[in-house]
Amino acid sequence: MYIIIVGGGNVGYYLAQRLYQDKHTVALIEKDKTTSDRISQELDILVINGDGCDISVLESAGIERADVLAAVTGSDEDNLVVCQLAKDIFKVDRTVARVNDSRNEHIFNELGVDVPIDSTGILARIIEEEVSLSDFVNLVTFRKGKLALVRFDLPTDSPVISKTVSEVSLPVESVLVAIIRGDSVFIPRGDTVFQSQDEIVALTRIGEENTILQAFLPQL
Amino acid sequence: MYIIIIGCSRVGITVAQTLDSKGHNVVVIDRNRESFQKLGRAFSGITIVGNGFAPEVLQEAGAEKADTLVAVTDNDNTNIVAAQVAKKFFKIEKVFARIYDPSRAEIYKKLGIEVLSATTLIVDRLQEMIFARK
Repeated sequence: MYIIIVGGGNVGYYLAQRLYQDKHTVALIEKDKTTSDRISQELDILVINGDGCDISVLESAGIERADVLAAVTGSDEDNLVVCQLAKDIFKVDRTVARVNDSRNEHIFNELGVDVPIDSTGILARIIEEEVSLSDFVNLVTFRKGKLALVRFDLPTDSPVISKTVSEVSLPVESVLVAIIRGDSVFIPRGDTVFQSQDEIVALTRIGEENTILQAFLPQL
Repeated sequence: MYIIIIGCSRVGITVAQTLDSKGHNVVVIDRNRESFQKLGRAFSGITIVGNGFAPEVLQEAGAEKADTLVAVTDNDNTNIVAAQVAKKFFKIEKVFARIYDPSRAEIYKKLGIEVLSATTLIVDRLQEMIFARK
């Protein structure tokens, strides 16, 4: 895939490196000359020194043929505008933006960013879950925040252990996606039996996460 | 009229003072508390410290009952986002965004935002004046 990254800070740098290692074609746009020079020396990708909100800069990064644009600067308004330009002017299929201030996440959804990533929120959620009873993590949100992919570990005293998938009644608005057991991944079927310490991945409508947990966790 | 001004810039201050002296309800939002000092003692409107495109801040500024929102910070993108939030979240009827970069101004005009580009305004006016007959 052809991926354009806007913002060459830590996030942009490691994202570019990862995607390049995964055999994607990557272009990175960075405003600061010193930073962009350093990145172009260190990584074997196209690095453009310029403002990602500038149409001509986006064009020189080859945005017409980009499959994905990821805006990961430290400024939410810049990330929003870059994504809007990519989407509305250049019809880029998928726009991903880093959300710096968690309070802004719903603005990203409303203004048409396909995948807003709120790293602070994700971290906060992971930490919260670390200390709470269930290890429940919201992995990714789709469809402008209406759907979420979530994961959690089955506690040893879960009421579903030794039951089959078909015996457990799930909330209407959710689907089991995978069961991870040690190193193996199972796609759940009706006769799959839940075991203690299974890791469950499910797709659910936002707001229904708790109903899923209720089905899998021991009643308090 | 109830008017919200985002950005206590030179333009923001002047618009705020003018409308305030004419008896309109004016709210000025800026990230920096010190910038309100330039509004002067005569200013009787409300000032709010905060991020002008954050819905919570706009709510506090009374965006639901505002007739007009003017986004005139010195950051184009802040103005663009503020204008869209004002329209989408609060259905404010008249929304204007100041944009320095003329090419971006053109694009956002097409996307339905009322933009004011000082550069374009001055260039147009200069052309008029240059070619004006004596």
